[in-house]
Amino acid sequence: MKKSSCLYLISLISLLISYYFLSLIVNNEVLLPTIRQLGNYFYQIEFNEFLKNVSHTLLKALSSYLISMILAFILAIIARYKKLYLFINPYISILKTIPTISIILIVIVWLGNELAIYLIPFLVIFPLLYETIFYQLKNVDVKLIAVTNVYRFSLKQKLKYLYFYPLLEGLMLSFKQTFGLCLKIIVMAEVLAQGEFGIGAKIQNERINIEMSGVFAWTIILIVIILVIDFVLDTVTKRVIKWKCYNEN
Amino acid sequence: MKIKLSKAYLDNVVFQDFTLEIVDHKINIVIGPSGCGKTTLLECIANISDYDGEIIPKVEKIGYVFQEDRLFPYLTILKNLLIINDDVNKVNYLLQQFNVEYLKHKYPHQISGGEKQRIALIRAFLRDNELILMDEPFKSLDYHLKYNLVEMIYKLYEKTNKTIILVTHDLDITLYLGHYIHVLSLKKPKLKATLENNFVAQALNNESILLLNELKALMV
Repeated sequence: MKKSSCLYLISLISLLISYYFLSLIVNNEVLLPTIRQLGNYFYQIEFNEFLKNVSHTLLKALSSYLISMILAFILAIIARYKKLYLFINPYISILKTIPTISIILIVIVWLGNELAIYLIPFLVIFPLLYETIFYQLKNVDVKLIAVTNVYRFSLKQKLKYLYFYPLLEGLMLSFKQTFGLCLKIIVMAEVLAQGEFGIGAKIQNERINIEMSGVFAWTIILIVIILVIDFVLDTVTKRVIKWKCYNEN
Repeated sequence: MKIKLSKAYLDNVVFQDFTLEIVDHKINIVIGPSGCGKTTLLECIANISDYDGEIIPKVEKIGYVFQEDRLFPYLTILKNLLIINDDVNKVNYLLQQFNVEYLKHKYPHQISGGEKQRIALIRAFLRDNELILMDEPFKSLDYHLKYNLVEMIYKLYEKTNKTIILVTHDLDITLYLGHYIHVLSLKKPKLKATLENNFVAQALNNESILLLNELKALMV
């Protein structure tokens, strides 16, 4: 086993041990359920129910993310024209600075629960993706532009070798950083919008029933999903962006 | 090739009605102090910088070795060369000729500065370019790597007989490689002298030392 994996495992075990002793000290299952109670709750979750709620949250996250990315891409290209950049910029600044909780509450009141769950992650993720794409397009290496001019690259070659690869790199790294955030925002929106399905809806449901084992269990499920997605994205990124120097440790 | 041009960056006039005659199918060295406009001259010839004047004949196919390697960081060495010329056999032949075939599946960040410069040099000779421009390709290379590259340039010149314009600070390289040496200065006249060198690819001898001394005097 690699040294880094070994340390990861030790850290995880120490977390479980700390949780175990903390739950013994608190000794109140409503505040902090024991590991046994959590285990029982996990055991009682039906596979279909699990699949339905997880897939609902994931699908909402993916669709919002995809729409954000497409729109961010289009606007980032448009914003290469200075006048349009100056026009778009205030909107992006407002979206970037407005507190997430305000966005959630305003959108829920304006659009209702169901639509809000899709729009909220879009409003949070879109400005981040817009900036990533905008700066990747803006910061194309001028030295490489000179190379493409000297060697008379066609427009297709210029788009591919000057823009596509750096953009792919930026988007892959950005996806890795922001998709987890998108999932967390979806769950928060599900909780506040009191939807029917989804991890957030389950957490809200268990909270109303004062079933803290359920709140903890669905939170742990979310953490595991984000960690798995992180791992998969890490592997995919290393395969796709082969030219990047990754730290092997 | 006849060059007549004027070029200024805002208020800074680099060339004012500057004329230079480049001898075809020879190695032309452009030498001079920093800031005299050597790189600007190459950029104007390569048409990547605007200028007033004319360059006759207009050269369309140019190979350019920049001060830095300027390889695409997200492509392997092989792919970096194939986007310039998709003839795999020619690319492989040149990689073999210069003992760098082992680099072809590596990315630029995985190879050394000297290796990158050798690849950039091969890239310049890959297409059927009429003119090869080199902008201080030896900068930041150690003595050993520098002379490897010098030998490589001379071999490529012998094989292809292309017109080469090479900008450098090095007097010893100038003497070893340049059939014609164009000395630029910071003041007017911009072109101080054009010297013919009959000692290309030779070790220093009594006569070439005289030329070296003449060059040194011009560089003061």
